Amino acid sequence: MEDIIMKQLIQTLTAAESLLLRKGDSTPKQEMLKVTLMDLLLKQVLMIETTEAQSNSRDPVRTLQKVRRGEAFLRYDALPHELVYLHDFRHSRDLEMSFRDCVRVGFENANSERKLQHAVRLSPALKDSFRQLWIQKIIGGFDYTDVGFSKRLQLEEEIKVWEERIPKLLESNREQAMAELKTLGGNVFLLKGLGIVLLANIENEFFKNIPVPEKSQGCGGCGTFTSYSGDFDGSYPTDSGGSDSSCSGDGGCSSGCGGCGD
Amino acid sequence: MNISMEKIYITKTKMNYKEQKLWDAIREFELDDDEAVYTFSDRLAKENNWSKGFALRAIEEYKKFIFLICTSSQSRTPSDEVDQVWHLHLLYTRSYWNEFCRDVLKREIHHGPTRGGPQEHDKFKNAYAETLQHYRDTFLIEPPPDLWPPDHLSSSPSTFSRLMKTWKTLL
Repeated sequence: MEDIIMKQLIQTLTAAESLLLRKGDSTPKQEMLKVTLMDLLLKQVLMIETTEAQSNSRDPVRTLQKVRRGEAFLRYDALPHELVYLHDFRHSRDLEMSFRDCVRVGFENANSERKLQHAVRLSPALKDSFRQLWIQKIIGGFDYTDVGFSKRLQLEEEIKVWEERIPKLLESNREQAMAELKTLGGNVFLLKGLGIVLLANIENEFFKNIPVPEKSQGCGGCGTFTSYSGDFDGSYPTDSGGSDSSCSGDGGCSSGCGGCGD
Repeated sequence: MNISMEKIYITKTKMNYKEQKLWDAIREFELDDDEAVYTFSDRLAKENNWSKGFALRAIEEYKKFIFLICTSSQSRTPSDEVDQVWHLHLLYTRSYWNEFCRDVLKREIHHGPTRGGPQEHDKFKNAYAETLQHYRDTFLIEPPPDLWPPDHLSSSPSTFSRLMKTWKTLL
Protein backbone atom coordinates (compact mmCIF):
# COMPACT_ATOMS: atom_id res chain seq x y z
CA MET A 1 0.00 0.00 0.00
CA GLU A 2 2.79 2.36 1.00
CA ASP A 3 4.61 2.05 -2.29
CA ILE A 4 1.44 3.00 -4.14
CA ILE A 5 0.93 6.19 -2.17
CA MET A 6 4.52 7.36 -2.51
CA LYS A 7 5.41 9.13 -5.71
CA GLN A 8 6.76 6.44 -7.95
CA LEU A 9 9.07 6.60 -10.93
CA ILE A 10 6.21 5.69 -13.26
CA GLN A 11 4.27 8.71 -12.08
CA THR A 12 7.08 11.02 -13.10
CA LEU A 13 7.37 9.68 -16.64
CA THR A 14 5.30 10.20 -19.73
CA ALA A 15 4.09 7.00 -21.31
CA ALA A 16 6.59 7.33 -24.17
CA GLU A 17 9.43 7.76 -21.68
CA SER A 18 8.29 4.66 -19.82
CA LEU A 19 8.18 2.71 -23.05
CA LEU A 20 11.67 3.77 -24.00
CA LEU A 21 12.98 2.97 -20.57
CA ARG A 22 11.50 -0.52 -20.80
CA LYS A 23 12.33 -1.40 -24.37
CA GLY A 24 15.40 0.69 -25.15
CA ASP A 25 16.35 1.09 -28.78
CA SER A 26 13.82 -1.52 -29.87
CA THR A 27 10.88 0.68 -28.89
CA PRO A 28 8.61 0.91 -31.94
CA LYS A 29 7.79 4.33 -33.31
CA GLN A 30 4.13 3.45 -33.55
CA GLU A 31 3.82 2.63 -29.86
CA MET A 32 5.58 5.81 -28.80
CA LEU A 33 3.25 7.84 -30.99
CA LYS A 34 0.13 6.10 -29.70
CA VAL A 35 0.86 6.68 -26.05
CA THR A 36 2.13 10.20 -26.61
CA LEU A 37 -1.08 11.29 -28.26
CA MET A 38 -3.08 9.63 -25.52
CA ASP A 39 -1.01 11.36 -22.88
CA LEU A 40 -1.64 14.75 -24.48
CA LEU A 41 -5.36 14.09 -24.59
CA LEU A 42 -5.40 13.01 -20.97
CA LYS A 43 -3.56 16.15 -19.94
CA GLN A 44 -6.04 18.17 -22.01
CA VAL A 45 -3.22 19.72 -23.97
CA LEU A 46 -5.19 18.55 -26.98
CA MET A 47 -8.84 17.72 -27.03
CA ILE A 48 -11.23 15.88 -29.27
CA GLU A 49 -14.40 17.60 -30.25
CA THR A 50 -17.22 15.80 -31.96
CA THR A 51 -18.72 17.56 -34.92
CA GLU A 52 -21.19 16.62 -37.57
CA ALA A 53 -19.91 17.15 -41.05
CA GLN A 54 -20.99 16.60 -44.58
CA SER A 55 -18.22 16.40 -47.14
CA ASN A 56 -20.67 17.31 -49.85
CA SER A 57 -24.39 17.58 -50.33
CA ARG A 58 -24.55 14.13 -51.94
CA ASP A 59 -23.15 12.36 -48.88
CA PRO A 60 -24.91 11.81 -45.58
CA VAL A 61 -24.00 13.80 -42.50
CA ARG A 62 -21.26 12.05 -40.57
CA THR A 63 -19.94 12.39 -37.08
CA LEU A 64 -16.31 13.39 -37.03
CA GLN A 65 -13.85 13.68 -34.20
CA LYS A 66 -11.72 16.75 -34.56
CA VAL A 67 -8.55 17.29 -32.62
CA ARG A 68 -7.84 20.83 -31.52
CA ARG A 69 -6.07 22.74 -28.76
CA GLY A 70 -7.19 21.71 -25.30
CA GLU A 71 -7.68 23.78 -22.19
CA ALA A 72 -4.14 23.18 -20.94
CA PHE A 73 -2.47 23.90 -24.27
CA LEU A 74 -1.14 27.37 -23.59
CA ARG A 75 0.30 26.65 -20.17
CA TYR A 76 1.75 23.26 -21.04
CA ASP A 77 5.52 22.93 -21.20
CA ALA A 78 5.94 20.41 -23.99
CA LEU A 79 8.64 17.77 -24.11
CA PRO A 80 10.60 17.32 -27.35
CA HIS A 81 8.82 14.12 -28.40
CA GLU A 82 5.41 15.72 -27.83
CA LEU A 83 6.13 18.41 -30.39
CA VAL A 84 5.40 15.95 -33.19
CA TYR A 85 1.75 16.54 -32.38
CA LEU A 86 1.89 20.05 -30.95
CA HIS A 87 4.05 21.83 -33.52
CA ASP A 88 1.28 22.66 -35.97
CA PHE A 89 -1.20 23.59 -33.25
CA ARG A 90 1.38 25.98 -31.85
CA HIS A 91 1.54 27.83 -35.14
CA SER A 92 -2.20 28.03 -35.78
CA ARG A 93 -4.51 28.92 -32.93
CA ASP A 94 -7.66 27.77 -34.69
CA LEU A 95 -6.29 24.64 -36.31
CA GLU A 96 -8.39 21.53 -36.06
CA MET A 97 -7.91 18.23 -37.79
CA SER A 98 -9.52 14.85 -37.90
CA PHE A 99 -8.12 12.19 -35.61
CA ARG A 100 -6.83 10.37 -38.66
CA ASP A 101 -4.99 13.45 -39.87
CA CYS A 102 -3.60 14.07 -36.42
CA VAL A 103 -2.14 10.58 -36.39
CA ARG A 104 -0.63 11.13 -39.82
CA VAL A 105 0.82 14.48 -38.83
CA GLY A 106 2.43 12.81 -35.83
CA PHE A 107 3.91 10.06 -37.97
CA GLU A 108 5.23 12.52 -40.48
CA ASN A 109 6.65 14.99 -37.97
CA ALA A 110 8.25 12.19 -35.99
CA ASN A 111 10.29 11.25 -39.01
CA SER A 112 12.19 8.00 -38.37
CA GLU A 113 12.02 5.70 -35.38
CA ARG A 114 15.58 6.68 -34.48
CA LYS A 115 14.73 10.35 -34.46
CA LEU A 116 11.69 9.84 -32.31
CA GLN A 117 13.64 7.72 -29.85
CA HIS A 118 16.24 10.46 -29.76
CA ALA A 119 13.55 13.04 -29.02
CA VAL A 120 12.24 10.92 -26.13
CA ARG A 121 15.77 10.53 -24.78
CA LEU A 122 16.05 14.32 -24.59
CA SER A 123 13.45 14.39 -21.83
CA PRO A 124 14.88 15.60 -18.50
CA ALA A 125 13.35 12.57 -16.78
CA LEU A 126 15.60 10.28 -18.81
CA LYS A 127 18.74 12.31 -18.35
CA ASP A 128 21.72 10.02 -17.70
CA SER A 129 19.67 6.93 -18.51
CA PHE A 130 21.20 6.18 -21.87
CA ARG A 131 24.52 6.49 -23.60
CA GLN A 132 25.50 6.32 -27.23
CA LEU A 133 28.89 5.29 -28.59
CA TRP A 134 30.22 7.06 -31.66
CA ILE A 135 29.54 4.03 -33.82
CA GLN A 136 25.96 3.94 -32.56
CA LYS A 137 25.58 7.56 -33.56
CA ILE A 138 26.23 6.42 -37.11
CA ILE A 139 24.47 3.09 -37.33
CA GLY A 140 21.86 3.69 -34.66
CA GLY A 141 21.11 2.26 -31.27
CA PHE A 142 22.01 3.19 -27.73
CA ASP A 143 22.70 1.47 -24.42
CA TYR A 144 21.52 1.88 -20.88
CA THR A 145 23.79 3.55 -18.39
CA ASP A 146 23.94 2.09 -14.89
CA VAL A 147 21.46 4.71 -13.80
CA GLY A 148 19.17 3.87 -16.70
CA PHE A 149 19.37 0.18 -16.06
CA SER A 150 18.42 0.55 -12.41
CA LYS A 151 15.58 2.88 -13.40
CA ARG A 152 14.36 0.26 -15.83
CA LEU A 153 14.34 -2.40 -13.13
CA GLN A 154 12.52 -0.06 -10.80
CA LEU A 155 9.94 0.74 -13.46
CA GLU A 156 9.37 -2.92 -14.26
CA GLU A 157 8.87 -3.64 -10.60
CA GLU A 158 6.40 -0.79 -10.21
CA ILE A 159 4.42 -1.87 -13.26
CA LYS A 160 4.27 -5.41 -11.93
CA VAL A 161 2.83 -4.17 -8.64
CA TRP A 162 0.24 -2.04 -10.44
CA GLU A 163 -0.76 -4.91 -12.70
CA GLU A 164 -1.39 -7.14 -9.72
CA ARG A 165 -3.06 -4.53 -7.57
CA ILE A 166 -5.41 -2.70 -9.89
CA PRO A 167 -7.70 -5.54 -11.07
CA LYS A 168 -8.35 -6.51 -7.44
CA LEU A 169 -8.89 -2.93 -6.39
CA LEU A 170 -11.28 -2.35 -9.27
CA GLU A 171 -13.41 -5.15 -7.95
CA SER A 172 -13.37 -4.06 -4.32
CA ASN A 173 -13.18 -0.27 -4.59
CA ARG A 174 -13.63 1.03 -8.09
CA GLU A 175 -13.53 4.67 -7.09
CA GLN A 176 -10.19 4.37 -5.39
CA ALA A 177 -8.83 2.32 -8.25
CA MET A 178 -9.78 5.01 -10.72
CA ALA A 179 -8.27 7.72 -8.54
CA GLU A 180 -5.01 5.81 -8.35
CA LEU A 181 -4.97 5.03 -12.05
CA LYS A 182 -5.31 8.70 -12.84
CA THR A 183 -2.00 9.35 -11.17
CA LEU A 184 -0.40 7.19 -13.85
CA GLY A 185 -1.61 9.32 -16.73
CA GLY A 186 -1.01 7.66 -20.08
CA ASN A 187 1.08 4.95 -18.41
CA VAL A 188 -2.15 3.21 -17.51
CA PHE A 189 -2.28 1.87 -21.03
CA LEU A 190 1.04 0.14 -20.55
CA LEU A 191 -0.46 -2.09 -17.89
CA LYS A 192 -1.37 -5.58 -19.00
CA GLY A 193 -4.05 -7.85 -17.76
CA LEU A 194 -6.70 -5.26 -17.07
CA GLY A 195 -9.04 -6.91 -19.53
CA ILE A 196 -11.26 -5.45 -22.18
CA VAL A 197 -14.20 -4.62 -19.94
CA LEU A 198 -12.05 -2.92 -17.36
CA LEU A 199 -10.22 -0.98 -20.00
CA ALA A 200 -13.52 0.15 -21.43
CA ASN A 201 -14.50 1.39 -17.97
CA ILE A 202 -11.23 3.20 -17.64
CA GLU A 203 -11.77 4.73 -21.03
CA ASN A 204 -15.15 5.99 -20.00
CA GLU A 205 -13.73 7.43 -16.84
CA PHE A 206 -10.75 9.05 -18.47
CA PHE A 207 -12.21 10.10 -21.75
CA LYS A 208 -15.67 11.21 -20.82
CA ASN A 209 -15.74 13.67 -23.67
CA ILE A 210 -14.32 11.30 -26.22
CA PRO A 211 -16.88 9.13 -27.95
CA VAL A 212 -15.92 5.57 -28.66
CA PRO A 213 -15.69 5.24 -32.42
CA GLU A 214 -18.04 2.96 -34.25
CA LYS A 215 -15.21 0.82 -35.53
CA SER A 216 -14.03 0.16 -31.98
CA GLN A 217 -12.48 -3.25 -31.47
CA GLY A 218 -11.39 -4.10 -27.99
CA CYS A 219 -8.12 -5.72 -27.18
CA GLY A 220 -6.04 -5.82 -24.07
CA GLY A 221 -3.35 -3.33 -23.45
CA CYS A 222 -4.33 -0.44 -25.65
CA GLY A 223 -7.66 0.93 -24.56
CA THR A 224 -8.96 3.87 -26.49
CA PHE A 225 -6.17 3.80 -28.95
CA THR A 226 -7.03 0.32 -29.94
CA SER A 227 -10.16 1.83 -31.31
CA TYR A 228 -8.11 4.01 -33.55
CA SER A 229 -5.40 1.50 -34.27
CA GLY A 230 -6.42 1.45 -37.89
CA ASP A 231 -5.28 5.02 -38.10
CA PHE A 232 -1.92 4.10 -36.67
CA ASP A 233 -1.54 0.85 -38.53
CA GLY A 234 -2.87 2.01 -41.86
CA SER A 235 -0.43 2.66 -44.58
CA TYR A 236 0.02 6.11 -45.93
CA PRO A 237 -1.84 7.21 -48.99
CA THR A 238 0.10 6.83 -52.12
CA ASP A 239 -0.14 9.12 -55.05
CA SER A 240 -3.11 7.50 -56.64
CA GLY A 241 -4.73 10.73 -57.55
CA GLY A 242 -4.54 10.02 -61.22
CA SER A 243 -3.34 12.42 -63.80
CA ASP A 244 -4.60 15.92 -63.70
CA SER A 245 -4.15 18.44 -66.38
CA SER A 246 -1.48 20.87 -65.41
CA CYS A 247 -2.17 24.38 -64.28
CA SER A 248 1.20 25.59 -65.44
CA GLY A 249 -0.33 27.77 -68.07
CA ASP A 250 -1.71 30.00 -65.36
CA GLY A 251 1.33 32.21 -65.43
CA GLY A 252 1.62 35.02 -62.98
CA CYS A 253 -0.68 33.66 -60.34
CA SER A 254 1.98 33.48 -57.74
CA SER A 255 2.78 37.13 -58.15
CA GLY A 256 -0.73 38.27 -57.47
CA CYS A 257 -4.22 36.90 -57.33
CA GLY A 258 -7.26 38.54 -56.04
CA GLY A 259 -10.76 37.62 -55.14
CA CYS A 260 -13.88 39.60 -54.89
CA GLY A 261 -17.26 38.42 -53.82
CA ASP A 262 -19.19 40.71 -56.03
CA MET B 1 -20.52 22.05 -25.29
CA ASN B 2 -21.27 23.77 -28.56
CA ILE B 3 -22.42 26.88 -26.77
CA SER B 4 -19.21 27.20 -24.81
CA MET B 5 -17.10 26.68 -27.93
CA GLU B 6 -19.05 29.39 -29.69
CA LYS B 7 -18.39 31.73 -26.81
CA ILE B 8 -14.68 31.07 -27.07
CA TYR B 9 -14.65 31.97 -30.74
CA ILE B 10 -16.60 35.14 -30.15
CA THR B 11 -14.16 36.36 -27.57
CA LYS B 12 -11.25 35.68 -29.85
CA THR B 13 -12.58 37.43 -32.91
CA LYS B 14 -14.18 40.71 -33.73
CA MET B 15 -17.30 39.61 -35.52
CA ASN B 16 -20.92 40.43 -35.34
CA TYR B 17 -23.51 37.69 -35.08
CA LYS B 18 -24.01 37.38 -38.84
CA GLU B 19 -20.29 37.22 -39.51
CA GLN B 20 -19.84 34.70 -36.76
CA LYS B 21 -22.45 32.45 -38.34
CA LEU B 22 -20.72 32.71 -41.68
CA TRP B 23 -17.32 32.01 -40.16
CA ASP B 24 -18.68 28.96 -38.36
CA ALA B 25 -20.13 27.69 -41.63
CA ILE B 26 -16.84 28.23 -43.46
CA ARG B 27 -14.87 26.53 -40.70
CA GLU B 28 -17.17 23.56 -40.76
CA PHE B 29 -16.86 23.15 -44.49
CA GLU B 30 -14.84 20.03 -45.22
CA LEU B 31 -12.40 20.10 -48.08
CA ASP B 32 -11.18 16.63 -47.24
CA ASP B 33 -13.43 13.73 -47.96
CA ASP B 34 -12.61 11.56 -44.96
CA GLU B 35 -13.46 8.42 -46.90
CA ALA B 36 -11.07 9.22 -49.73
CA VAL B 37 -7.76 7.44 -49.83
CA TYR B 38 -6.09 10.46 -51.39
CA THR B 39 -7.63 13.54 -49.86
CA PHE B 40 -7.54 17.20 -50.80
CA SER B 41 -4.93 17.92 -48.13
CA ASP B 42 -2.85 14.93 -49.24
CA ARG B 43 -2.80 16.30 -52.77
CA LEU B 44 -2.08 19.81 -51.59
CA ALA B 45 0.84 18.61 -49.49
CA LYS B 46 2.25 16.48 -52.28
CA GLU B 47 1.96 19.04 -55.03
CA ASN B 48 3.62 21.74 -52.98
CA ASN B 49 6.09 19.52 -51.21
CA TRP B 50 4.58 20.51 -47.87
CA SER B 51 4.17 18.45 -44.77
CA LYS B 52 0.66 17.25 -44.00
CA GLY B 53 0.51 19.55 -41.01
CA PHE B 54 1.50 22.56 -43.05
CA ALA B 55 -1.10 21.72 -45.68
CA LEU B 56 -3.82 21.52 -43.02
CA ARG B 57 -2.72 24.87 -41.65
CA ALA B 58 -2.76 26.35 -45.15
CA ILE B 59 -6.35 25.16 -45.58
CA GLU B 60 -7.27 26.85 -42.30
CA GLU B 61 -5.75 30.10 -43.59
CA TYR B 62 -7.53 29.71 -46.91
CA LYS B 63 -10.84 29.57 -45.07
CA LYS B 64 -9.92 32.73 -43.21
CA PHE B 65 -9.02 34.40 -46.47
CA ILE B 66 -12.36 33.50 -48.02
CA PHE B 67 -14.08 34.88 -44.96
CA LEU B 68 -12.17 38.14 -45.37
CA ILE B 69 -13.35 38.35 -48.99
CA CYS B 70 -16.92 37.83 -47.88
CA THR B 71 -16.74 40.53 -45.26
CA SER B 72 -15.11 43.19 -47.38
CA SER B 73 -16.28 45.35 -50.21
CA GLN B 74 -12.69 45.57 -51.46
CA SER B 75 -10.71 43.00 -53.38
CA ARG B 76 -8.53 40.82 -51.17
CA THR B 77 -5.21 39.21 -52.06
CA PRO B 78 -3.91 35.91 -50.65
CA SER B 79 -0.36 34.92 -49.93
CA ASP B 80 1.24 32.50 -52.34
CA GLU B 81 0.61 29.60 -49.95
CA VAL B 82 -3.05 30.42 -49.50
CA ASP B 83 -3.33 30.92 -53.23
CA GLN B 84 -2.13 27.35 -53.79
CA VAL B 85 -5.01 26.07 -51.69
CA TRP B 86 -7.40 28.22 -53.68
CA HIS B 87 -6.01 26.96 -57.00
CA LEU B 88 -6.46 23.39 -55.95
CA HIS B 89 -9.93 23.98 -54.60
CA LEU B 90 -10.91 25.52 -57.92
CA LEU B 91 -10.02 22.23 -59.56
CA TYR B 92 -12.62 20.50 -57.44
CA THR B 93 -15.34 22.35 -59.32
CA ARG B 94 -18.34 20.74 -57.70
CA SER B 95 -16.95 21.31 -54.22
CA TYR B 96 -15.89 24.87 -54.97
CA TRP B 97 -18.80 26.25 -56.97
CA ASN B 98 -21.74 24.24 -55.69
CA GLU B 99 -20.97 23.21 -52.18
CA PHE B 100 -18.77 26.05 -51.05
CA CYS B 101 -19.81 29.14 -53.00
CA ARG B 102 -23.48 28.39 -53.60
CA ASP B 103 -24.40 26.47 -50.45
CA VAL B 104 -22.10 27.89 -47.79
CA LEU B 105 -21.09 31.37 -48.91
CA LYS B 106 -24.28 32.06 -50.90
CA ARG B 107 -22.23 33.97 -53.41
CA GLU B 108 -19.69 33.44 -56.15
CA ILE B 109 -16.06 34.13 -55.36
CA HIS B 110 -14.03 34.50 -58.50
CA HIS B 111 -10.31 34.08 -58.78
CA GLY B 112 -8.51 36.74 -60.74
CA PRO B 113 -4.85 36.26 -61.67
CA THR B 114 -2.80 39.37 -62.22
CA ARG B 115 -2.66 40.92 -65.68
CA GLY B 116 0.96 41.88 -65.07
CA GLY B 117 2.72 45.21 -65.29
CA PRO B 118 3.85 47.70 -62.67
CA GLN B 119 0.36 49.04 -62.05
CA GLU B 120 -0.99 45.60 -61.26
CA HIS B 121 2.05 44.92 -59.13
CA ASP B 122 1.34 47.96 -56.99
CA LYS B 123 -2.34 47.15 -56.88
CA PHE B 124 -1.75 43.65 -55.54
CA LYS B 125 0.95 44.81 -53.16
CA ASN B 126 -1.44 47.30 -51.61
CA ALA B 127 -4.31 44.83 -51.60
CA TYR B 128 -2.10 42.29 -49.84
CA ALA B 129 -1.15 44.78 -47.14
CA GLU B 130 -4.83 45.63 -46.68
CA THR B 131 -5.69 41.94 -46.49
CA LEU B 132 -3.16 41.43 -43.70
CA GLN B 133 -4.60 44.36 -41.80
CA HIS B 134 -8.12 43.08 -42.32
CA TYR B 135 -6.96 39.71 -40.99
CA ARG B 136 -5.53 41.30 -37.84
CA ASP B 137 -8.63 43.37 -37.26
CA THR B 138 -10.93 40.39 -37.73
CA PHE B 139 -9.17 37.53 -36.01
CA LEU B 140 -7.26 39.66 -33.50
CA ILE B 141 -4.01 37.80 -34.10
CA GLU B 142 -1.01 38.23 -36.34
CA PRO B 143 -1.24 36.20 -39.53
CA PRO B 144 1.27 33.32 -39.22
CA PRO B 145 4.34 34.57 -41.13
CA ASP B 146 5.12 31.21 -42.73
CA LEU B 147 1.71 31.25 -44.40
CA TRP B 148 1.30 35.00 -44.73
CA PRO B 149 4.79 36.40 -45.36
CA PRO B 150 4.93 40.11 -44.52
CA ASP B 151 6.29 40.83 -47.97
CA HIS B 152 3.87 39.53 -50.54
CA LEU B 153 6.39 39.13 -53.32
CA SER B 154 9.17 37.50 -51.35
CA SER B 155 10.10 33.99 -52.39
CA SER B 156 8.49 31.45 -50.15
CA PRO B 157 9.50 27.83 -49.62
CA SER B 158 6.49 26.70 -51.61
CA THR B 159 7.47 28.87 -54.59
CA PHE B 160 10.91 27.33 -54.43
CA SER B 161 9.42 23.83 -54.29
CA ARG B 162 7.33 24.49 -57.36
CA LEU B 163 10.32 25.86 -59.24
CA MET B 164 12.29 22.76 -58.33
CA LYS B 165 9.45 20.57 -59.49
CA THR B 166 9.29 22.37 -62.82
CA TRP B 167 13.05 22.08 -63.15
CA LYS B 168 12.93 18.34 -62.53
CA THR B 169 10.15 17.97 -65.11
CA LEU B 170 12.22 19.85 -67.67
CA LEU B 171 15.20 17.64 -67.00
